[in-house]
Amino acid sequence: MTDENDYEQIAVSEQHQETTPKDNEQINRVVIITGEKGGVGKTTFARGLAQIYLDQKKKFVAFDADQSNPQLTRFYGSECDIQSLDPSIIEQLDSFPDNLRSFIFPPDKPDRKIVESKNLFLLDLPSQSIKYLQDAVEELELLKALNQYDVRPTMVVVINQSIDSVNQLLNLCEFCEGRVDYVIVKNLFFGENFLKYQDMRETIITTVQEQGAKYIDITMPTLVKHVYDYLDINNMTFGKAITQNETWAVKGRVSSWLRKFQEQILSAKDLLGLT
Amino acid sequence: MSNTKRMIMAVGDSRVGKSTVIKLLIELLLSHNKVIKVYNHDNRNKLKAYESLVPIEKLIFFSSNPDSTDLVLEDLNNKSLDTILVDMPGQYIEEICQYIDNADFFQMLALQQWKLTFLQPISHRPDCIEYLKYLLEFATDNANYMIVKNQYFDTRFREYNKSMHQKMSLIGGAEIELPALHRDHYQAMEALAKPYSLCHKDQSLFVVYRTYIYHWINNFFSNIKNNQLVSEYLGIVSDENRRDTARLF
Repeated sequence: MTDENDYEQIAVSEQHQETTPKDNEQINRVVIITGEKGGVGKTTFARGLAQIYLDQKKKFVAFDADQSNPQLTRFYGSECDIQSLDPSIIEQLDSFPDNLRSFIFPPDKPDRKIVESKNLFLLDLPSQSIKYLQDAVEELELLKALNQYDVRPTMVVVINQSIDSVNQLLNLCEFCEGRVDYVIVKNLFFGENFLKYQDMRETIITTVQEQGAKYIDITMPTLVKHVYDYLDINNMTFGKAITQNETWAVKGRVSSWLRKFQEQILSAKDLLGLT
Repeated sequence: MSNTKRMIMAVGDSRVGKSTVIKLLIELLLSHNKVIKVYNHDNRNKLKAYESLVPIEKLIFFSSNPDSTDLVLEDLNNKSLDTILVDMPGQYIEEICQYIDNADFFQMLALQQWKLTFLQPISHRPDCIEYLKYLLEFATDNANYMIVKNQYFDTRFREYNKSMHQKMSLIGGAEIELPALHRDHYQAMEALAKPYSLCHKDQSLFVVYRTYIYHWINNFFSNIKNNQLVSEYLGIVSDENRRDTARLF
């Protein structure tokens, strides 16, 4: 009798944990990288984050939504699972939550081998695609669908010093509200002063935190042009750049860059799926 | 002899004798059959007279495009080199440290088994001490330190001895004196635009000048020779048995 009681209590507490995944380590996370302008550094951030996921042996699936210039695929296609996603086709965003669910709860293979479950996702959205995201949120209830599958989204917004960057962030906060967490990335390539953003920062933070979301801002270090170009010409990942012995300037520069990048990433590790 | 590859980075304020020391060291290292390469950040091309002796590359540290500084890193891969001498721009210690950080310079040196010596000539001015303190705090045990007391400016170095001498000996830093050369002799020597070691043979100089120049060079070289630590930090004798200074920082 007592044994049975104990068992029941355990079962209840387990169930309790399942229904409140918010602060649980096992939360599913989708990191959505946005930024309205091209050249603001979205894909550099995506590449850096993918590298850190790889270095930390995270099981993740990336979605490259840049149809014209699928950089993430070009650099990391051979290193990790990268799927293509066209955000301009409404069905693709519509089925995105179900797509994620199939990774979280993978069906057994016909040979009955168990497929490993994934609970971390990276979506690299191209510039000018925020309107598709907004449509998906407003018309298709994308965020609600993700929430149903216990997938918490993090919006990564890479910004420069323009007022456009701030406006885009405000717009994003308006239609996502507290249903997503926010990581703002100040790309230091554009300098150290983000005055227009700084003006609005406190207001934005207060608003989204009242709505129950988490908000962190971090910086992205700069990489000198010749190193950036070298990686580009050779489709080289940051990890490969550090292990190669062909050019030591590239090795040293990338090693320093990735160390600083990782420090920043780790300061937002909960929101970037690195817990 | 030593198999260690050494990078010697001359740092410190302008006009304390960085280029002079570099020139002397080129000759000393060549006399030890070292294969050397020199990087020079100096718009006035002060090392021109040495171009026939060693390969000298220009280092453009403060261009908008820092690529040229990265060439130094590429040379770490050059198996034939024993020594790289770098004449860094004076004063800009913060920028130098930033560069070292951005290029993971210390780690790259270590991976290629190069050792680094910061060589700082000092004058009587207190700026030199501040500069050295900043450098020590930044680079800690990633480098060896060598102070050249340039006696042209001072012979006592009271400030330095009071505030730095003890610390330097504690962390394994080396000190050496560069004897003073009278300004007239120095200027006459520079005017020849020849490697220093050829100047004392140059018939166009007064004999007395040539004598002073000859002794000035020789005294500096024997100061080095008589100082084990300095000889190690210049890569001219082996430093295999050197104790680890890491824990002292």
